[in-house]
Amino acid sequence: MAGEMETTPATDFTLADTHGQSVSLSDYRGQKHVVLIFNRGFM
Amino acid sequence: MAQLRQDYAQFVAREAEVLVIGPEDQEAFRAYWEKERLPFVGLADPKHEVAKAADARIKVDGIEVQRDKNEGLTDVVKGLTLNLRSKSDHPVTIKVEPSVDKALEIQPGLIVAIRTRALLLADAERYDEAVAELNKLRENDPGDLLTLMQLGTLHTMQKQSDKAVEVYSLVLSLQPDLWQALRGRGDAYLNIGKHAEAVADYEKALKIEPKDSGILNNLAWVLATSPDDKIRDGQRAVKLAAEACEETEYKLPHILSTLAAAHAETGDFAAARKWAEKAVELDKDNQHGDALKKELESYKAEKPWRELLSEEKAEKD
Repeated sequence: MAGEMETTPATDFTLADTHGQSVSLSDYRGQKHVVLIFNRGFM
Repeated sequence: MAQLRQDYAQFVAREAEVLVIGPEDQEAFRAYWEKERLPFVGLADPKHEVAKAADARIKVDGIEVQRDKNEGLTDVVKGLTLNLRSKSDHPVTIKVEPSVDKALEIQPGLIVAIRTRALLLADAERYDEAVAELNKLRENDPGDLLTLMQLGTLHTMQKQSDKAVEVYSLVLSLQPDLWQALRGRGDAYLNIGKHAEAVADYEKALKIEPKDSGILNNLAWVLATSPDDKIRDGQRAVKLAAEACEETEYKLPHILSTLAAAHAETGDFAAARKWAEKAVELDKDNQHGDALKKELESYKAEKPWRELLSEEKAEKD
């Protein structure tokens, strides 16, 4: 029996890292698994 | 963060990268990362481009709680869990619902809120309204792949397979190797009985994701059950269906049903009956209705299963 698809790709984004370099989620596509952690703040 | 630093090697061993996104600016991130010697990636999001807190409406055992924004949903849920532990001796269900309307009141046009509203409408099976919300996003950014993929999924759920094909084709013109779009278009073609087109898309998707049980299963299904003699290939269907079963540990009824159909196509009705019986047995909550039982009956009568062609399917619909 044919099944239905459940996966859709995550929205891409680009932010600056701690060295000021641009990092995009799509940089990791096909390279590594990605664990995203949304932090409230460390100050 | 200290715990994460301690466990980071385990993420690396699993070929995973950790990205921490927070509301501080880049200089604050740099100083903190240096001080704490954090090995993973820190991403400054002071403008809340990626993550933005919203008002939340939370239901605990049917009791609604309103929570103002900016506290983080994780903390809200954790706080409630702790409170409930002291009061309740039975399992409770916590349902968190972001207040999309409130978010749009505060920030009209907020993309993440419109998208969430579309998904909530789809969950409520209000598909036309969900499509209308996604079309607002599409007008704003016609090439946004996520919006187009979500539209494709919605059209498939609405059984508007022609529209789904159109949207997935647009996605593939923008990103030809997006296997989810190939899989989605393949499914849409299968729904309208265009089996050759479905096979072509599944084959391309499988080259990109050779272990995906969904692609393996659906390709095997068409190869086993298409009424078109030129498309059917029982031996290959058995091989693909067996791989899909391995990937899912022989636990999913609809994939066992495909393995049964593939064996039936090769003429091995004993194997077909064995796997079809197992599929019926596993479908305890009758998620697939009578379909699995009808397939089993067919194999008992030593008849292979056949999908409908597009013309027959159109008449049936």
